[in-house]
Amino acid sequence: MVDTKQEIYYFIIIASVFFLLLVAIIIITALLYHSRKRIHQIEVSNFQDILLQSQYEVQEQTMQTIGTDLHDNIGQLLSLTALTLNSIELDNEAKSRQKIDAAIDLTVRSIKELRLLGKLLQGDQLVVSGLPEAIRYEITWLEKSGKYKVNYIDEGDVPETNNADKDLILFRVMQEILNNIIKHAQATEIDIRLTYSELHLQLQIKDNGIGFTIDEKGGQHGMGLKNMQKRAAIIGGEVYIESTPGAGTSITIFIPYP
Amino acid sequence: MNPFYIVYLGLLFITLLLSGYSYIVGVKKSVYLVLLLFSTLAVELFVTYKFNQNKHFAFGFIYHLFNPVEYTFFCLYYLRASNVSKFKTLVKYSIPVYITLSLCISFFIYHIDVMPGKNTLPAINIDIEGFILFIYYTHLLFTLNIDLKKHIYGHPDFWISIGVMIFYGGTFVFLGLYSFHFKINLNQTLKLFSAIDLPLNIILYSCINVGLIWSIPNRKYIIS
Repeated sequence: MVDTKQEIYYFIIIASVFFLLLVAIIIITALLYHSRKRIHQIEVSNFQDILLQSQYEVQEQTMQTIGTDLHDNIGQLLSLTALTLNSIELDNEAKSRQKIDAAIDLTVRSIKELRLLGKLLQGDQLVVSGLPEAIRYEITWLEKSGKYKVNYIDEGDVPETNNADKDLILFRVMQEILNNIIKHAQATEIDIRLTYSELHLQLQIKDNGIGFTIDEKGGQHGMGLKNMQKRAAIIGGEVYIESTPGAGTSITIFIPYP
Repeated sequence: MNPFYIVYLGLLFITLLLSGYSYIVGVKKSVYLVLLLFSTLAVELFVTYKFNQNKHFAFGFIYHLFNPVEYTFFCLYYLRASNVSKFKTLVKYSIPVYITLSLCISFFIYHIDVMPGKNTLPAINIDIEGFILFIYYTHLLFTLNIDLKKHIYGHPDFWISIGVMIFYGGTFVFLGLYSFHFKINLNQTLKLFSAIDLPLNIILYSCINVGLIWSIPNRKYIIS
């Protein structure tokens, strides 16, 4: 039979082991806590990297659009104005009047185009005015090229979000998709549909281009798609791609919103 | 002499050297570890020397006096290591409170000014000290600022925190019942002291050593 002295002896050993186990549990909890904190910090850091990259790319895209527009549109209008003014013959008042009117008309059009361009200069600030508006604005420039027939449908009232970063990333993904269509798809028609329902935003972009085989994930093509998926994932979204060679491509992005 | 005790003293000496080196290379908070370890080693060597000279030497009172010193240095180290200002204020004010409390326990409960109280170990003091330090260092462990590029195991205060937690967590029950157990069974108490207190002391100083090694800045020179 175990006496009291022995009982105390064993009690001290068992209780000490118990306390040490408790310490071990606390240390493991602290390790798990720090591990989760680290993962969260990495996610935040990745999000900030992607956000910065998106801001930079949206600005770069804007500059490209401005450059193209200055060269192809405003530049042409101003050249035409100069030509018209040069061709004025002061001895023929009626004809001169007509040419001056034409020059005024061309100048007014140039000013209008410059105003539009001025708005675009705000770059990523454009997204602050709301995603539907930013998309509409982007489409305006695409339509100006005259190469594409763009159909844009904006369904459901997209609520205002406090998180403009989400809009910016989604806007950049859309720009990337449109760039891909311009570069590779050989499309003539683009359908863009922005739908908001049940706390989710859906952006669908369809084209009637040459399409591709989704299994071909190698090279830059696959990288671009992965990049899109990575960006969507960072704002909690998903990207679905459907494409058939010769029958166009449809890309749908779902993100929780706002 | 107990081999564990020799290992313990050796480890204590190595830890003292490492903390001194760590302070010299620029880890300013290590100064509190230097002071703590120096006083610990001085107390241990003095007790060992006196005890070897005279087996009846009443050494308990030295640990009573050392206890508030130990608490103070652990708190001062915490104050330099932690970055939670509210908790730091609490720790700062706890130092004079604890010193008073510990000396009151030593004088009014253990009566260290007269025999046999002079030869008691400050078990209650260490238990209270351990409980409070356990809370402080658990807090430090959870509030460590870990650099994204580094792992938690590379943080010196991670090791120092777990060392303190293991030591004071493991000795809590033993020290709580020390006086009582000492009276009813001296041999088993000494056996438990060797089985619990000394190994946990070794773990404590090993952890502090690992922490100090991580605290020493890693300088790489490129010679071209």
